[in-house]
Amino acid sequence: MQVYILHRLFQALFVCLGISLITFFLLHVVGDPVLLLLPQAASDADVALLKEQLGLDRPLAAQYLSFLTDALRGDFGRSLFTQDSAFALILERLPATLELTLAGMLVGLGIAIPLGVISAVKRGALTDRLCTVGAVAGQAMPIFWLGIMLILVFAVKFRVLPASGRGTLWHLILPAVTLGAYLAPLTMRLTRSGMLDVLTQDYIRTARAKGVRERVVLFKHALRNAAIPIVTILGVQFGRLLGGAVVTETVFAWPGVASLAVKAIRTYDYPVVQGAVVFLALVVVLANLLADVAVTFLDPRIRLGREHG
Amino acid sequence: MGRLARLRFLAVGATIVLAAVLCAVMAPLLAPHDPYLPVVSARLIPPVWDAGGTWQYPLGTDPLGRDLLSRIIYGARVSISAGALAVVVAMTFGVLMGLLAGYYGGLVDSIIGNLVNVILAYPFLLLALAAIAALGPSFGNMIVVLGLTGWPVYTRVVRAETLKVREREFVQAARALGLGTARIIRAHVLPNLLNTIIVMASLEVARMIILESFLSFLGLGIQPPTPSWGGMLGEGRVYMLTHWWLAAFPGLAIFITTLGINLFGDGLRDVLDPHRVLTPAGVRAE
Amino acid sequence: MKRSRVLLVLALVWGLIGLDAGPAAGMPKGRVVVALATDTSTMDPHMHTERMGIIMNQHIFDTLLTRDTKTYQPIAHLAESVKSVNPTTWELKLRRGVKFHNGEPFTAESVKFSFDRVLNPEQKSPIRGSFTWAKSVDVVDDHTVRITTHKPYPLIHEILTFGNFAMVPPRYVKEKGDAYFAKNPVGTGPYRFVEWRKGERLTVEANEQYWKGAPAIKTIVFRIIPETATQIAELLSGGVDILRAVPPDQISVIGTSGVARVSATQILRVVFLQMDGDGRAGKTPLTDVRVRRAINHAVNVDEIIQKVLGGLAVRTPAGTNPMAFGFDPAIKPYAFDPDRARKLLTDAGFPNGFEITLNTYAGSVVNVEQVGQAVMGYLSRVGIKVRPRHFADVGQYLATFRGSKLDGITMHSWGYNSVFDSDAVYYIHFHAGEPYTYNTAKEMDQWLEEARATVDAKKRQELYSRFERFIVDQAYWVPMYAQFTIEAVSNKLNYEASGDEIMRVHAATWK
Repeated sequence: MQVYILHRLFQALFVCLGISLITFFLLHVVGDPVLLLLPQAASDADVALLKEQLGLDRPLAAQYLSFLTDALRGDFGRSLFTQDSAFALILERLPATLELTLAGMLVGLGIAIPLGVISAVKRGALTDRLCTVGAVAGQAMPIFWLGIMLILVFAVKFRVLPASGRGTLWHLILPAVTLGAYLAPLTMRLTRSGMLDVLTQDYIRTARAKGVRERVVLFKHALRNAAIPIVTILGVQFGRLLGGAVVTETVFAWPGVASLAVKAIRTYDYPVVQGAVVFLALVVVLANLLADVAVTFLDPRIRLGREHG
Repeated sequence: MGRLARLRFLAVGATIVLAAVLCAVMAPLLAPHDPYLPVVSARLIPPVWDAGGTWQYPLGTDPLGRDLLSRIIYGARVSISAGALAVVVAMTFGVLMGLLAGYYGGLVDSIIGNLVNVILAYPFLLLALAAIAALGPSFGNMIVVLGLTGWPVYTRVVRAETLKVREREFVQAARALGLGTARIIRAHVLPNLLNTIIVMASLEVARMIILESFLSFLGLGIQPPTPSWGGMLGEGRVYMLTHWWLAAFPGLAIFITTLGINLFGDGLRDVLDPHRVLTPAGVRAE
Repeated sequence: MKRSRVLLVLALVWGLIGLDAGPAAGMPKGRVVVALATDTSTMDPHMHTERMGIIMNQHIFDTLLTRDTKTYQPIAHLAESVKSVNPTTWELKLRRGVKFHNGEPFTAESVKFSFDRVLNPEQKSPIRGSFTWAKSVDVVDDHTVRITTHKPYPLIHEILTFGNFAMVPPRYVKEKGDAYFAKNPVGTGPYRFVEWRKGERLTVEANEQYWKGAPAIKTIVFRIIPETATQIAELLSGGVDILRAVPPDQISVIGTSGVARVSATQILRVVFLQMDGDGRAGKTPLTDVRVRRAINHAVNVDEIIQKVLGGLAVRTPAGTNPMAFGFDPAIKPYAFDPDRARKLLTDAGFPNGFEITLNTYAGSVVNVEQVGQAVMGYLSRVGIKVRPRHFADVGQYLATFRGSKLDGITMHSWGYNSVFDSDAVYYIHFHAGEPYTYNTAKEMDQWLEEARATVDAKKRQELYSRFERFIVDQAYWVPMYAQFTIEAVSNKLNYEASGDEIMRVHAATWK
């Protein structure tokens, strides 16, 4: 067990390294934050001076190497614009994103899992078909459109909820619903197929034949076993959540890491982008790891065979 | 789901896909106006059924006086071709990687496996932003970005299947006889996968279309004045309060097309892949 | 029994409401929320050049001079007078009795400290370049300062209104250090700093001891809301009171809402099409003056102003803003004449037109995509096929500009750095050797240098008139228009937008 976890941790590290490398070279190919730092009327000499002071004129490999050595010490560098530690900036905004993604996940799962179970159980019935069509529709809907519609209806027209920003629990509702609606369709479909796979298994039939009550069959046997693919899905969904968070945070002016990363990418604030992307990747990888570990606890049979899934 | 119902969904899906492809291919014949030329004097005309609307512009005009209907028809070109091309790129690369990983195993498998993890861990949107920020927004770059993030889905499935096949006796026998690797793969591995890959690809096209619209919405995909549904949606978002048709109709176009492709793909799966090689864990969620 | 109880309760409630509804007249009250699209990077006024930062800074800090909101002329603020002792020495008399928010007195020391700080190369202040005209700053007494300049500098009054050049407290800055100061600003301004949640909001509270008198509004919150649709929704639902930038097409929904109105006014920013007449980025048909004149005739600027900008822009015949010194009202723009354009193109050897790039960038130009595409439409009608090239990233745009790679036509804009003088727009775009110059001529260099070196207003106007006639004749630009700032205000407030784009929320009052 420990070997497995170690192995996965090592993998996580490799993944983060790979991501940091990709981001680093991508951002350094083109783009110049120096000009954004100076007033437009600055002379070329001013530009060259600032570049030198920031160390942006060294060869790429040298810059990457110093980034790595610093990162290992926990120093992701300083934002080129605000001189704050990139790490500190990310940590500052992380709680907001976590709050949003967890709330979004709750809403999403709250919609998806019950519906997924119901449509699996009532396979072929009208409910099932409606759910499927609803899921496909949900997947095809642009997330920002939903967000703005919710604002228009609940904030502008009926004035029952605040339109944007973070503060009270009321502020969390609309963004969480938006993000949850983004997650729900695919999760529902995956839950449904997971449940379907499980429901056709022998032990379910056996349980039913033995006369066990349907409810017990569903929750004690089916769902618990379906939990395995569902939990795996959740780990994968985390990455998707961040994509949804980018737009949600923008529409609702939510002060989170995703919008920080986007702004940093747009302004070529290399240290912040590096830090944010690597950090977020780490979070996603850890989420996947947690999911996989949880799965092995749920089903010891899979423990060693996981890598070859 | 009853057989008849399934077939009906497949038919509906196929019809929608066909309509979208027709729009894309025959756009110059179908579109009533030039989708590019601004007619500043005809700005922001509402759809024909609203006050001030006219049959000359059935779905209204955009802030530059361009006919929305024409732009939506031409937009099909971008969405369909982007979706299809991205899938081709991703599929080619992904299948190749999966074959290599499954067949050779060992170090090759390890490296490819880790690469898959890296790509899957990466929040797609951030990767796309960074990549396009670096490369510049264009159709080509967008295809590359979409393709580069979409290939791992195929790899996992192909690899699993390749592993299974590799251990079978007839393959062992073939290798013992000295038959070339490529031949073995072509003859034994690929045919089993074909159905699965076709189904995956068709569903992936829908996903790629949505991602393309996502990118164009953020201003990182197709650049104006070329019409793209995502771009039009992005341009229209400020106008949602006042000129609702600018965002509504492109959004509807994305929705209907994606719905059609999904119905078609699902129907296809029921026909081609009833044993469901595609497990939930194998289907990647971006 | 019951009734008297009820009356008692009512009386109490009434009293409480009464207490709440209005402290003594003249005391600051209430809360105003302002929506901005982006945040500033630091609260230290010397260490950034962002407009959002300037807006926030001038609530917390004061500058030596400020602009009169009606005439836009520099007027006394922290400095009561700025007089020339000799051509290279200025004497400033400072206001007495002014204190920083932490109690530290404002004196000549503060002025010298602020100057030295900006000029110190180790400080790395991005505004240093605008102050290198100053040779030394000397304290004469507690309320008198002398500034010596390298050469005669006629624009000193303008530059002392510069939003970034605020007066900072020497003791506080030295004690706490720059990093702390950047997050906990202390100034002499009408509002004191309360809290800054980066990227989210800045909260400031009225400084009741402000030397000009306490402001009317107790709390101002600057909220960062990147999405325009959300901003408007917030305004309409009462969550936000002032919007900084309203797209022209959204004016009607705000005007008819009943809760807010639009406040628009002309600003210094001018928008123009710059052509690569020199061929700095490579030879194109634009090096031929006939082609440039044709392009001027081809673009229907008036229609753009009327239709795309809702009439909220003013034509600039020679490229400089009517509000800036040097504007010559006698100069007439090119008439919209596509036939003449086609004829000129044929004369120049392009009967079937040609292909050219049109560069645009995101940020300062209102409705930039629409204006850009409208321009493309006009050009295509006379046979010029346009390749659009849009820079979503301002940094990249500026790098390409300065790197001599910006070929073809560029839709550029310039805000004059809030200096109401034509030098601020012309020098950097037409003088040889400047980073943004793609059109040069010896005469232009001469006129520009002369105008910069003299303080004689009449002579300067003469020079600029000559310059403008020249550039219009040579058609180096298609001068288009001076932009408007379009803000939105809740009906509860008395507040109007300002022509220098600096939101003076501290001057707003309740209706």
